Amino acid sequence: MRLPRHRKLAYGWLPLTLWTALTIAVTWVLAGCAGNPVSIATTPENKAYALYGEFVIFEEQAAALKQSGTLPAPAARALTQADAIAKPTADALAQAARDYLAAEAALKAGSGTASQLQIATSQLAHWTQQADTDITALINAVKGAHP
Amino acid sequence: MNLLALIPDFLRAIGAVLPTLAGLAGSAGWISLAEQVLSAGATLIERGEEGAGDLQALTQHIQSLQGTNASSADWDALRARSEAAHAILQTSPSAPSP
Repeated sequence: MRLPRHRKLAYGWLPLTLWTALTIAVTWVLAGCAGNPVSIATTPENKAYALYGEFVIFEEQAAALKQSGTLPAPAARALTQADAIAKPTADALAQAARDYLAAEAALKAGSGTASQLQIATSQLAHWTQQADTDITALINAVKGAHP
Repeated sequence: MNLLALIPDFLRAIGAVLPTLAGLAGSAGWISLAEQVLSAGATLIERGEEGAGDLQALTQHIQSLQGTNASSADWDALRARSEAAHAILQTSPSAPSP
């Protein structure tokens, strides 16, 4: 049985509709059920840790999706590109957190200065802001992966 | 019963019968695409559930810190997971275009 052309065009929207519904379902699962680790963090270090942790979780999601082989090539490429951008920033955030902790420990031990801690705090704030942007792009790529 | 957990199996079941429908309808193109989308959607939902669990665990961990710093072991564990995921993302081949 051959379908008329207008019926084929109508069916052509089916995959997109299905995918949109699935994306909404996943977004609901991730956003609604899990809480927001960054928003409940109370210190600069905790915020950095929460943000880095969120990055790792979505990076693992992206890796598993790509490894599954079920994603269309453009969506898989988008995940790879978003990770390539977010990863260096996330690593810089982790390093800034390490420097902050070292400066804080040095100040407590009497071997560091308040000025050094202030610089480390400023660096941590800078990389937290930068990472927030790049990691959000990765999160959006994972949530919005589409054919 | 977690109904959401049944969705991936449901989607894969639909995907499994689509080739039969394609034979009946004589139009394999869109059905093949829909089959791919259903399969990808099932994977996405499965991963979404796992990710939601991980986010919940991270949120609880941050709460348990109560303003104290995360340990270096905590940071190292996250870094190791990131390196593993990054290696997969930057080396594994992409799926073919539909």
